[in-house]
Amino acid sequence: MSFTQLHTQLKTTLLIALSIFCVVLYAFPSQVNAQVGPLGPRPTQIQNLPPGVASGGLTNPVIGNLGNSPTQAAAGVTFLTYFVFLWRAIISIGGLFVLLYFIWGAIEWINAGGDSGKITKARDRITQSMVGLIILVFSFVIIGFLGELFFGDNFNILLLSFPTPL
Amino acid sequence: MQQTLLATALDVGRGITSVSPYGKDAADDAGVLLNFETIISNVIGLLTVFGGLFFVMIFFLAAFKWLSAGGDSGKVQKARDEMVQSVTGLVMIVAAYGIVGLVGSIVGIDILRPAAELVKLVPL
Repeated sequence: MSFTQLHTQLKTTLLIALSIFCVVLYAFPSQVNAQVGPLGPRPTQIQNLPPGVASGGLTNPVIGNLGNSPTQAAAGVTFLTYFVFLWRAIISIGGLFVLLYFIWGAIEWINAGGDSGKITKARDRITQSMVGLIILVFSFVIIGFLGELFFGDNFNILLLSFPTPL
Repeated sequence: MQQTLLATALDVGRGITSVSPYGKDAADDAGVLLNFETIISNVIGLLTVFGGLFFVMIFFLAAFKWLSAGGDSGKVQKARDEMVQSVTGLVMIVAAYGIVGLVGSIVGIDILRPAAELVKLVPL
C-alpha cells in the first residue's frame, strides 16, 4: 500500500469517526451535557459570594467607566462607547484643522496681491477644508443613509449587534 | 482491582463536604476566585498605567526629535510616525478591555469572568 493510499484511508477513517461523534452529540445531548457526576451537580456559578460582592469579573480599574463592567464589555457596549468617543474626538480635531486652514487661506489671499492664480489657490484651500468638515460632521448621517439604502431593515450599521453562540 | 481502587477514590471524593477545588469549602472557593480576579484586574490596571507613562515619554521624545530635525524631512517623517504609533498604542491599550470582552462573547468564553469559568472546571 502506497503512502498516498494510506493517507487517504486515514483521512476517511478520521472523517467517519468525527461524523459519528457529531451525530452522537446531537442525538444524545442530555448524555453529553449531564452535569451530575460522582461529586454531585457541577456548579454553574460561584456559590456563597461574600456579601457586598455582586459577581466579580475582571476590570481595568485605571480607565474608569470603560473598564469596570465585564457584562457591558461582553455585549460590545464598552467597545462601541469608546469608538464613539474616538469618533467625536476626530471630528473635534477636524474642526480645529478647518479653523487653521481657514486662517491660512485668508493670509494667502491677503498676500496674493492681485495674482489670480494665488487667489484661486487660497480660495480652494478654504473651500476644500469646509467641504472636509461637512463630510466629517455628516459622516453619521451618510453612513446611516447608505446602510438603509443597501441593507434596509436587515442590518443597521449604526446599531450594531454582535453575534453570540447559542 | 482497578474498579475497586476507582470506587475507593470516589468514596474519598464523596467524603468532602462540598465541591471545592480551590478552597476548603464553597465559600472559601468564592473568596479564592474573587481574590484571583482582583489580582488580575490590578495587574491590568498597572499595565495600563505603565502604557500611559510610556506613551507620554515616547510622545515627548518624538516631539523633541521633530524640533531637532532641522528641516530634514526624513527625520520629521520618522518623528511623526513615532507620534502616530504611540497614540495608536495608547488607544489600543484602552480599547483592549472592550475588545477582549467582545471576542470572548463571540467565541463563547466569558474571558472577563474567569472565576465563573474556573468554577465550572470541577471534575465530574
